[in-house]
Amino acid sequence: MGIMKRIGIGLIFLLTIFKSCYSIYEDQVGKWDWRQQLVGCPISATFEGQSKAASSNSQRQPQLVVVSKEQAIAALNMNTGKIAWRRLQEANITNPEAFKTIVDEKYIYSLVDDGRILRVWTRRTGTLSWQEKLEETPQNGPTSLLANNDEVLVLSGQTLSVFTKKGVFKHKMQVEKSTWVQLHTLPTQDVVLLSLSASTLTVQQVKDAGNFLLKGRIQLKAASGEKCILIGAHMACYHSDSLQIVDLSGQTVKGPSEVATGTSIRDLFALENDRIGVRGPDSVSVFDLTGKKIFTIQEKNIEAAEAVKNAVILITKTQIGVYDAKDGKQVFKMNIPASTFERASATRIFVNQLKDEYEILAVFADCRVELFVVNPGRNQVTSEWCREEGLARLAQVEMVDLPLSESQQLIEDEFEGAAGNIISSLIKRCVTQLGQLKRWFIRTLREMFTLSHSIKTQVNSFATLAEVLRNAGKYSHERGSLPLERDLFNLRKMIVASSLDGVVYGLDSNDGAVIWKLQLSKVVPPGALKTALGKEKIPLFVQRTTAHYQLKGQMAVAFQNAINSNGVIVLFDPITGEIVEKHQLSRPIKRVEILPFLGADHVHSLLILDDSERISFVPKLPDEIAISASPIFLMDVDPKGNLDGYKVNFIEKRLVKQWHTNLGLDSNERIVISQGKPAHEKVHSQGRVLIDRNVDYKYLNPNLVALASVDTIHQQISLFLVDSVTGQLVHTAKLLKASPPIHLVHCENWLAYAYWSDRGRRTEIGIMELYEGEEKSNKQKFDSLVPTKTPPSVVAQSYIYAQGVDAMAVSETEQGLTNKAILFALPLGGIHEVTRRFIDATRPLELTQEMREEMMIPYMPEIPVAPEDMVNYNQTVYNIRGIKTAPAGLESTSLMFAYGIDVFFTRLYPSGTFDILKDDFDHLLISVVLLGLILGSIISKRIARSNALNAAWA
Amino acid sequence: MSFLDCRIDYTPIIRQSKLDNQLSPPGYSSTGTAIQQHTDGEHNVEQQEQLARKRAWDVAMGPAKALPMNMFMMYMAGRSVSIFPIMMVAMLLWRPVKALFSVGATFKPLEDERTTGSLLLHKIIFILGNFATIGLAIYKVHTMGLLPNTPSDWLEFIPQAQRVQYNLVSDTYV
Repeated sequence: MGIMKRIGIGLIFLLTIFKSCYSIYEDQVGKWDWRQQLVGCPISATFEGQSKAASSNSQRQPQLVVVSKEQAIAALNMNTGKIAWRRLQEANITNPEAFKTIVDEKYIYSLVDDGRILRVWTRRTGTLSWQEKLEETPQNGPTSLLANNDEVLVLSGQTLSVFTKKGVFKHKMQVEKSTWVQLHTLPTQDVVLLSLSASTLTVQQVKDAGNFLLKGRIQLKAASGEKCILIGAHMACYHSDSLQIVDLSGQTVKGPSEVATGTSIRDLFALENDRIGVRGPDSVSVFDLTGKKIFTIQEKNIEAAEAVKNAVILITKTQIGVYDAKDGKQVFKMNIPASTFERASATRIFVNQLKDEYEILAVFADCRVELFVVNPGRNQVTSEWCREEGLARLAQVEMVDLPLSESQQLIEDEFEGAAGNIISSLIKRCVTQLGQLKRWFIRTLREMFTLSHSIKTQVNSFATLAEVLRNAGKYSHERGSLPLERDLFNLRKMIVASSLDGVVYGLDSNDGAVIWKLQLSKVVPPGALKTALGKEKIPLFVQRTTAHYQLKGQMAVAFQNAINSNGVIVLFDPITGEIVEKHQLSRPIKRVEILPFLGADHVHSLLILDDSERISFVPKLPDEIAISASPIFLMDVDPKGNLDGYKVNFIEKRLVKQWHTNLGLDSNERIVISQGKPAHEKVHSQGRVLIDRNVDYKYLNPNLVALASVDTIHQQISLFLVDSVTGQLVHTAKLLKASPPIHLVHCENWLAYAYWSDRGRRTEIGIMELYEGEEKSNKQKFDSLVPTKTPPSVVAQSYIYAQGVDAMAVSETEQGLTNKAILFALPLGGIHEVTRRFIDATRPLELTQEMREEMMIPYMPEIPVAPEDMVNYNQTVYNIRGIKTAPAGLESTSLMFAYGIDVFFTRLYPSGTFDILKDDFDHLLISVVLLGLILGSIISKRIARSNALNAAWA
Repeated sequence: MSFLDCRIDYTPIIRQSKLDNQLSPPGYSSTGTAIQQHTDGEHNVEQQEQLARKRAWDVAMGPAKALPMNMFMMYMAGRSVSIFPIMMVAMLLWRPVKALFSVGATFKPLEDERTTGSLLLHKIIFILGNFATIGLAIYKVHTMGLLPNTPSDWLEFIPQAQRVQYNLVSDTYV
């Protein structure tokens, strides 16, 4: 009875809480949010045979099957480029090379999850036909997959398994270890297994009985199988400028016969009639299997080449060329149609030959995918569609305020520079006000035109008229009609995102359209920076916001030269994407940080530490600022738990070592995350109000860094809170029987962490809050070098979370007054917003009357996961790697951008929309009613007067 | 004889009225009353004075006497911040304040007597009583948690602490 009663009370309580959660209404879908679904950077693409002809007969749209680096298999609609279906595979893999797919007429065979699972999909609809688990543990060796007429052969680990096409297991056999393997069907339908280890190629024939027949071992120049292609019964490999051809057809392997091609070979491709295409930087040569050159096509800067039935297609920076496959004569050559953004170099093309035209799918270095249709008869090249797949590989994201709008600027101008005589300032004010009037007039006219147009085209009843009038305000916000400028509440931002392929995108936060694209390959071949904790990054820094309206905003991106790994810093304008300055450093970057104080021209300089421990500043720091700079400290973390603290000496431009400590980690324990607090964090409330109305002051140490280490052998996770200025260990915690994935959110005075609990077999969320006590040591300043009166006390609590966690972030608002909300990206595609009131270390176990009056929430081990708390409702987003939040101009609103294989943007209201009118607030109705009332009172007054007059006469 | 010729003769009644109180109730003596009135006069003034003093003390002690009742009422009103307790507390606070501004007017009717000299004490006590009521009201407001007298009430005004040092935390690259 008691338990039932308690559960009942709990339920009632929960229901009352859910009222405070704000989910959206049906008519708000897509109003403030957008999603882009992507497939990732393609590694292969397969056309549907003779797609155009087939489609005109049957209703169905032709599809293009794309397999991507991001472990996705997808079908794109050939006509529109939209995703027809998409199947994502396990994303947290260690061996991306193990991902193999084969596409045949009816099925797609895929070896996924580090070579552990074989999955077969139907090609048309992408439904899973069958799947088989091959291995228990992830495989780090090479894998291979082959689908014959009647069998599926899969090599994973050191086991070759054979299945029938229906998925029935036939037999398996052991294979020697090697660095590269390939299964291949010879024209005689025999299956051979080619394996390469240390330049020795071993060829074995796979017998039906389940054993191998050795066909020979030969030495090759090529050390990796990536440089080889298989053509019929031959294998061709290249090494610098020589081409080696091996004949696999006989009982024993013959060869290799070697040909010197005279150009440094970039790529090989197969042609019809067993011929080999060799692509060099400025030519494409075609050889037959004996090594005789048939013809050569000369062309400058060939980026990719591919052959179809009777043509060789080349793509250069600006042109597409079609050549006859028999004699190499030029059939067609034309410029690629111009695109909005400069194209990167093409890395790969896939070609499909139709009756009289060619469909060419080009994949560029920035993972842009574009479909060209070449029609030699009509002499035209058209770009059918393109997809920015680089957005699936974002590394870091910043949100930048748009510049002040022209009218805001004019107002600023009006009061700018008051010095001058009365006449000139009067003239200035008149001119600026005339400008404002003119602008208002133009804007209103434009709005009226669009409104009248939409009334003409859309209205057919009174209801639609009302709807159009109600939406009238929105038409003016459409892009293109007006320049990019800040809106009233600064809700529209520029999302600047760097991708791992060396592109920086500028996205409009209204609809996700790419506004500009900065190709870092224009400067040097870009490479991502690798962190000591084993992640790849291309960091972005906001050096100057757009708040200084006379000056343009400025951002910086740091990356490395892919060839010599020297550091490169590019400064650019975040609104237009134009490069301001380029800095090619002479050494690799060890650290790059943005200084907290302003240098010349309101720019935050970057501090760059190179691998020889020398410091430089970009842009240069003026001496007077360097001398008066506040002390800056740096902390180095290495995965083994060695921490070093340094102080920056601005005058001598070097680091001064302050302290060194070792966390004393176990030999198989590694630090995986190091996270400081957000640099410009605003904390509105300096303490927590206790039930007796005293204050427990927060321990708001801005220099605190949270470290998490993982010991996979003993299944434990340790958390450390270190003051990075003094090296003082503020707190440590050990989570027993816990394992990764671990995610941290560190802000204000708390640290929230999600981890997998092996004991409970569930995800758990921990929260740690630090308090200084009822007295604050120093209310004005926080100095890490001065100890607090009492050591900070830690309150901790943990909760059960019924979902996995892919990424974790916290909302951010203008003043830090609104409650924080923690965002969890779930593997099932949701983004779950949980208010901090739930994930709170001070939730009481027993609720007293006073606590109830203070609306405290009693401790419950479970964090409720309600569908209405998903900020992306049914717009699922997968494989989320990070969530970026940014404050809007309104205190209630925080902007959120989640990126993974999908990208999603929305607005968050962690404490509800307390400072804006409800979205469905009916201005029109209110004003109509108000006007009606005023009119009614005037009319009734007149009537009353005339009635009174009549009554007096009667 | 017409009706107009008729006359009413009033003389005997007038004469009768002049006669000693033949119509007075038995035992009534007009002279006796006058004497009694005269003799009671001195005694009555004393009584009046006493009454006035008593009245003055009543007025002066009024607020203090109402205090226990007010305390009970406030106790019954509870600690919750809702419209009725707030109204009660506001009344409790407002009445003594109003009374304090009209001390003179309250004691004016009593000042006519010869007791004027001693009214100062009454006024002081009256004022003290009202202050006590105000004190009670303030205590009530305090127990309701409406007085900004705890650190938590001033918490939101504490500015964010300035940083003395800055730390830079991002990744170390290899």
